[in-house]
Formats: sequence, structure tokens, C-alpha cells
Amino acid sequence: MSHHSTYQPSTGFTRWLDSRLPILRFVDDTLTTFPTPKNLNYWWVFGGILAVCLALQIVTGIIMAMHYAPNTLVAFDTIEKFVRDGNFGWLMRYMHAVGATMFFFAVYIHMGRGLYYGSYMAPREILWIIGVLIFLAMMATAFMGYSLVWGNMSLWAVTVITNFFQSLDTIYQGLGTTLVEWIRGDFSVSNVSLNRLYSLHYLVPFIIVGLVVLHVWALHVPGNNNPSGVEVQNPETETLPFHPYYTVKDGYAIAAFLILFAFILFWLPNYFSHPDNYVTADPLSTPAHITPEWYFLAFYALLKAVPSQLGGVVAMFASIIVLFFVPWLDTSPVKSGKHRSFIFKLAFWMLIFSFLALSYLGAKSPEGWYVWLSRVFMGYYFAYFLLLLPLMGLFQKTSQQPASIEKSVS
Amino acid sequence: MKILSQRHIRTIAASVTAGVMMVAASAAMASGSDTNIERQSWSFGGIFGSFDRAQLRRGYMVYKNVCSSCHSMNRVHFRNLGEPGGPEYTPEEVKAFAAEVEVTDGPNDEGEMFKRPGRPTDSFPSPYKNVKEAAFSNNGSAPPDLSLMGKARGAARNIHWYMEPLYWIYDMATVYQEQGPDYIFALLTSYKEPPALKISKEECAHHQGYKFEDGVCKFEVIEGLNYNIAFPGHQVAMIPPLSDDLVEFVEGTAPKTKEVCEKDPEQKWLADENRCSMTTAKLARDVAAFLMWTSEPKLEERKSLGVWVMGYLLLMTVLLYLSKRALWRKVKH
Repeated sequence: MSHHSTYQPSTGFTRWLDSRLPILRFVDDTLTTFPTPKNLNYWWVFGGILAVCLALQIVTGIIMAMHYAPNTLVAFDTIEKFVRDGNFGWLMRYMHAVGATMFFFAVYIHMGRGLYYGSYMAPREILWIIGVLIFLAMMATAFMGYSLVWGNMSLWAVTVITNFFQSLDTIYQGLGTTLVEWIRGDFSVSNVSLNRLYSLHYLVPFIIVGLVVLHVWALHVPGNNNPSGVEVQNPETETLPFHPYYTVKDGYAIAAFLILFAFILFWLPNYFSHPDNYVTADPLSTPAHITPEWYFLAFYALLKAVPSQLGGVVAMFASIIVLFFVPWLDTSPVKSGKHRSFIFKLAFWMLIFSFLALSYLGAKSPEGWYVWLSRVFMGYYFAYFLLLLPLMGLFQKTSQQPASIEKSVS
Repeated sequence: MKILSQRHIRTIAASVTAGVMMVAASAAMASGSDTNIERQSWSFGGIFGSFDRAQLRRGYMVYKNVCSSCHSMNRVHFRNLGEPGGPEYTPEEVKAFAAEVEVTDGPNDEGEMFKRPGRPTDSFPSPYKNVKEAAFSNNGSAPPDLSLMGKARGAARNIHWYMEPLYWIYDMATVYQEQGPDYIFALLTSYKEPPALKISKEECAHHQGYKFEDGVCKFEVIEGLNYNIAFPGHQVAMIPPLSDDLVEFVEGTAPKTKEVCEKDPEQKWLADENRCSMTTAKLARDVAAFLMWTSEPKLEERKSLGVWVMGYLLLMTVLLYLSKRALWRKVKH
């Protein structure tokens, strides 16, 4: 809800500051008085949770960077040294690694919520697109961070991912090879590559911070979507000030989320990563199965599902690119999945199931029925966005949604 | 007032589903493998787990007397042996262990490298000058460094695909993070005679890796490798390193009577020598525990800090929940 600022500077200094840099007014407008629909359910808590995840990653990352050397000869050793001998080095390292898992866990739910409740629809298209950009930046950061460990899976993951671009050779001879060499800075993945991965791994998180600021800005113009899918009509009765109502509710959700975080951090810190990454990188020994971390497995499955390398790469990138167009692919006049047809609900949950199935299949060797199943679920993933969303909307009746937020909660 | 409204139930159900989804999406463990690593019970497993000092000390003896003749362990220093959360030897004992090895140091003021007895700050020495020598002395495959072995190996399970998500949930609920030591224990105790199938010569031709010989269809082990059912592919370069009674109890730690000795089924009373001996399984278990400690020397610190953090978070969550409920009581939402 874009609202009239009600901030009143109360001291001489804040009045002086407000007429020069109204930063306190901005904080007050966005975190205190911001009118928020009163009917948000617990699926709406993940924005706050993600902000906490980002902050934790940056803090632990900066501390680890003080103990890390991006040199292929010692990279792995510097991390191990910090973990074994640094003060709480093990805690920083595991918090950062488990933090990545929790970050993606939260972002997937956050995106799923947006897809179910139509949070991408007008007037929130830009908000959604910035969100997809954040997701892309997160993927890049996570991948580069994983490479810095310089374990054997790190090295081979970088080799496989940079090899993607090799497939462009089929379009124009030499284009792919040149591009791959340019990206790696060498003929193979080497110290030069590690240096740039480190540089970018340190840079991109701050780009994410910038995108998050834009994301929040774009949220604060139209205001939150809500489970009813109906826009706020009467701010007096239908919204609450963000503080204390949502600071406390989000605070509760964040604390509950941190319980799960702490459980994995202190008792299952290595459960979600591959043991091969505790083996120092060795260009002469390829791991038996090169697999990414769990949060990339669905995309990895797409890569393996298409018989041609170029096709696989295209499918993988297309699976994210398609998200940019969702606001216009969905033709429904009703936003909230709650007030859409049974067909929509079924289609949505099948999309979630397909994503999970692809994640499962991404960890399997591309042979036999695994490949065929990957193709089926890949087909459904694209069909949902390119066929079902445009078609289902055409048959959607507006009469199914409540007249107002007030009506939806009574 | 109803404490659990339908909405709450739905929220809880949704969170549980989300949790299950996350676990299902993780496929950390490769399945459909030709090996099956069984889960063992370890003192350092579970929420409050901690190392068994006596076991770590026995494990160190196995490493020192057996493993260290081929494997390096260069991330571990003698000083670690005296640190809290490990075998916790006294400073004198640590010094004595370090002094047993000879270390090349230098260059000295005259520019020469020289040998000196080890100090607690030295890392465990490598048995070979370099990887090439290690490989040359071991049939072409260099024995891996053991510093991180407790985390650098997983536990493959031969289960049906539809059982996998259930296993992940079970793993997480029961805090299963001991895949490494489970694998090490399995590897050290799974040297077997290669299988021989009683089938016809024609059928034998369909079995990859088998050869028909002397009327039986035998699994053919490559020259220089050893048959081991825990190792992926079942052929490992390492010769069976352990055997019953290969390492003896340190003086003063052995059970003195037959009854006490055989309380542990992995110990055997040798009547003619009137002493308790350790079987291969026992030695394997001890060295696996030791290798978990070398991989994760801060395990005890991690788990005990975790208990405090968890207590704090639970309290904070309850307080925030109560605040939320009080604050929202009058809002129809």
C-alpha cells in the first residue's frame, strides 16, 4: 500500500536530518507504519525469513573471507585450517554451508506462494520480475561459493557448468570454445578461474542486497498481495501497521525457522552435501557421479533430459526465463489460487510435484526410465506455464472470489 | 477458545509437507548401489553424543601401528591428541608420541635441512616422500590421506527408489550423520572370498566380471586388487589391513577376566595366554571412531553448543508465539 507518510521527527537532530536525508522517514514508512493486509497467512512469512538468511550469509561469508585464500594450491587447506583451529571456524563454515540450503528452501516456498496466490499479477509484475532476478543471482552466488571449497566436486561442477557454453560450437564453430576459455580465463578450470569465482562470489551478494532493496520498494508501492487475492479497498479496516503486528508475527516465524536451521547446523551439517567435496580437487580423478547440491538438482535433471547438449542448456535456462513472463502468461482475472477452480489447484500441485520429481531424478544417472520420467516432468513444467496458465485463465469466473478482504475473513 | 483451529492444523500440515518436500528434494545419498552400508551405533551419534575417550585412544593405536604405515594424515597435529573433545592424552603423553617420529626441519643457519624429533606442533608424518612414491609403493594407487576420511565417504544403500524419501526422513529424525565411520567400519570388515556361482558356462557368460573355471562361475578379481563387498565395484587396492589381535590393548587397559572380556562380543579371551584380545570388528570400529574425530575434532563442541542454542531458540519461539497471539487476539484475520 503506497501510503501517505505519517512520520513525525521528534527531536531537533531528526528534524534536521529529515529535511536533508529522510532515511528515518524511509525506515518508518517501510517497517513501522506500512499498512499491511490483516489476512496474510503463514505462507507470507518467508520474505522476512529470506532477509535473515541473506544477512547471515553475508556476515558468515565476510568472516570466512578473512581466512580464505583463493589459490588452488591452498584453498581447501585454508578452509580446513579455519574449521579446525579458528575460533568458531567450524560454526562459521557450517552456518554458511547450511545457510545456503536453508536460503534455497525458503526461496522455493516463497516462489511457490507467489505462484499459488497470483502474487505476480498486476500491479506486481515488476516486484515478481525483481524476485526472479534475485533468484538468478542467488543461483550464481551459490554455485560460485560451492566452487570455492575446491573439493573434488567443486572442481568438477565448475568444469561441467562452464562446459555448457561449449555447446554453442554447434551453432557457430569455435564460438563455444572461445567463450568457455574466456569464462575460465584458461584452457581448463584453473587458478585463474578460482580467482574470478572468488571475486564474483564476493560481489554478487551485494548486488542481491541492491535487488532486495528494489524488491521491497516495488512491494511498497502496490502493497502486499494477500490470500484472498482482492486488493485492499479500505485501509482503515483491512490493514494493520507493519509494526508491531507483522514484526512480531514474522519474528515468531523467523524463530521457528531458525530452530530447523539450528537442527541441521548442529546435528546434520554435512547431510545435504556430497562427501566427495571433502576430497581435495583432483583434475585427474573424476567423481563417480557429478551432482550439484540438492537445490540445483531439478535444473540438472532438465539438462540431462534433452539428448543434445545445447538443447539441455537451452531447457535449463528456459525453465527460469519462462518465470519472467508468468505475469502475462496467466490470463486469470482472479489472483488467489484459493478462489480458483479445482483444475487450477490440481495443476499447481502437479507443478510442485514435477519440480520435486525432477529434483529426485537430477540425482540419478541419466539412463533408462529416469531419462523418460525427466522428460515427462520437464514437459509438464513448461506446459504449466506456456499452456495451462494461459488457457485456465480464460475459463475463470470472477464471481468465485470474495468482494473484499473484510468479507473474506468474516 | 480453541487452541488448534482448523487454520492452525492446516498451517502445521503445510509446514510438515514443506519439510518433507525439502528432504525429498535432497538426494545426497546415491542409491541403487552395489553395496549396502549398514548403520552402526556410535557413542558420538545422536543429539548428546560424545566420543568415547578409551575408544579414541584404542583407535589411535590402530592408526599408529597399522594405517600410518601407508596413509598420511597431514591435517592432524600431535597437539590435537591432547585437546578437549579428543583422546585427551596428557601433555607429557602428547610430547612422547610426537618425539617418536623424526621430522625434517630447516634450513638451519648453515642452509642445511636437518632431522629432529617431532614436537606436539608437528603434523602426523607422511610415510612417503610424495604422492608418486606412495603410488609406486602401492601398485600404482596412492593411499589417500586420512584426515577427513570420516566425512569424505558416504554410506551407499541398496534400497528401492520409493523407499528413499522415507529413509531421508528417518535419517533426519534420528540425526544420522555417521555415514563416514559406517563406511570405514564396513570397508575394514567386508573383505570376503570372491563369490562363486554354481551355474552353467552359458549362464556364466552373462555375468559381467565372472569367469567359468573348474566347474564354477567365479568372480574374477583384477591382479593386485582385493575383493571387498563394501567398496563400490567390489575391488579395492588396499590389502586387508586388520586381523584379529593385530593390535593389543595398551598396558593396564585390557579387561582382566574372561567374563569382563567377553561382555563385548567383539573381544575374545585367549585362554592359553590368559589375556583379552580384540577382533577385527573391534579394531575396525575403534579406528573408524578415531577417523571421525580426526575429521571433526570439534564435534563435541558443536553438539553441546547446539543444545544451548536450541534451548534458547525454543524459548524465544514460545515467547514470540505468545506475544503474537496476545497482539492479534482482537484482530479478525
